[in-house]
Amino acid sequence: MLRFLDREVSVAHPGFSRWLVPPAALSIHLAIGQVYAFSIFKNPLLALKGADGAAWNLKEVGYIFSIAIAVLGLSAALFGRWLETAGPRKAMFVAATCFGSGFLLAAAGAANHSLALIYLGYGVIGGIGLGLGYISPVSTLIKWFPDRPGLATGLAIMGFGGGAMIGSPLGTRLMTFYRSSSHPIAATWVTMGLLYFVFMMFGVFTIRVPREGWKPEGWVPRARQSALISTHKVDVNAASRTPQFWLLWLILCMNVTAGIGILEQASPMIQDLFRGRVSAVPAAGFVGLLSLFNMGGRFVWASMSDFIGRRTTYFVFFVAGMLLYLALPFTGNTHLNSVALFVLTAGVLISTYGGGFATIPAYLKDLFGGYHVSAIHGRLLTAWSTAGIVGPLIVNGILDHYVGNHLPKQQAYPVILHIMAALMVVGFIANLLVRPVAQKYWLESATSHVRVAR
Amino acid sequence: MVTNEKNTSPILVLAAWFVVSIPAAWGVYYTLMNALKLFQ
Repeated sequence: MLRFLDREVSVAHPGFSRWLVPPAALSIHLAIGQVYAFSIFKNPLLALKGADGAAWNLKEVGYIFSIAIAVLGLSAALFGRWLETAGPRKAMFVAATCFGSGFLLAAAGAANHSLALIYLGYGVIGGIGLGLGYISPVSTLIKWFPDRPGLATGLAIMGFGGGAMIGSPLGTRLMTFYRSSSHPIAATWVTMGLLYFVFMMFGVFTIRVPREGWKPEGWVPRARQSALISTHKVDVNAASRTPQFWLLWLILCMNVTAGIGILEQASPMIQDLFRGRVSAVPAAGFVGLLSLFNMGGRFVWASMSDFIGRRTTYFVFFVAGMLLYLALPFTGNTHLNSVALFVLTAGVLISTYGGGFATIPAYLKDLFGGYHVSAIHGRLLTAWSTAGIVGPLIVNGILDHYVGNHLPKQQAYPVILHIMAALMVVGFIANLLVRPVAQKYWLESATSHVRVAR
Repeated sequence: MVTNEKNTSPILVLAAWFVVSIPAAWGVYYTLMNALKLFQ
């Protein structure tokens, strides 16, 4: 019965429209993007009491999200190679099963006041679903859209940014709906697990891989193109040994670390920089606005990279980022005192943060070819996990230092943001050093043909 | 050789985009409404 999940069965028939593939990918990314809305469950979880009256603390509850994100990076790195042979449909099915069942197990944990079950369910099993789901449609999209790889992957990864916008109101409303039940969080998670599983199955049924040798009608690859765009194929293990892989790793890490610097502190930052003018409610609006910039940036920048090139796109991110991170503290009430300018500057910065995520698969495809791009992308996502630790460490470390030494918190932000500007310089240099992949890493054409046909 | 080519219906393509656009639009609307509080 599960044979329909096999790669061979999911090969598209002649006349199949490639425009069915982005919605399939979006259904996965819109679902798993829910992880960014996990914070809505923090307070309800803190209020839960066990049979002995014990409650969890903020640190313990915070680990649920951290485990999920860490497992995301690990599973993307570990299972990427399997995905390339198993095909996107099987990988998406496993992702949907893990993500959905992770919610169910976590619900059992919430109902029985077992944090270990929540860690295992939402964190580990759900985290595997996140990692597999994130990378599963990437190489398929690139194969369907060889003429617009940035647009295609931008569309899918935009979904991950948008997932929190659905997950947040959905979770809040479900908890309100189940408030009179004995276990509102458990009931919410069971409902979400089932809903997301069904939604992701739409992607599983819709996804198709192009048949061997397929290309868009009338499309002819350009005879002259950038030296960075390869016509060869590089295996995932060989790719991991290239300097290009580690330069791209650094590029993604710098871009994400700097973005997290704003996202992590968005609400308190705007309130501190505009003390007396911006309170908690409008600050929450600012956070929402940033998520719109994050989502929009994923689509706009990745699509634009098809025209201006991947390297130029990252140059724009790093040059603009450097200038804007330097300028951002001066928009506060001690200098220009302009909320609109602050919001616009932060919005543009967050759009480049999202754009960095969405453009990286196409950059990988340019350098290593489309053969193992999902697997290589999976390994590169360890840069995200690293940035997820480094970014908050920088921000919280500096803020703690200022608060601990009774210095005005407002004065910490220029220091933090200027460190982010320095990270942009590192990213700029790494991008500058990217060269075409040396021939010794290429797959021999005969070998690659056999593997592709598998 | 006879090829069995069956073009995907544009209605099917539209329906697929509809399935993912509806929840996404709901999420964007909700976020936008929250974001407007910044300017009130």
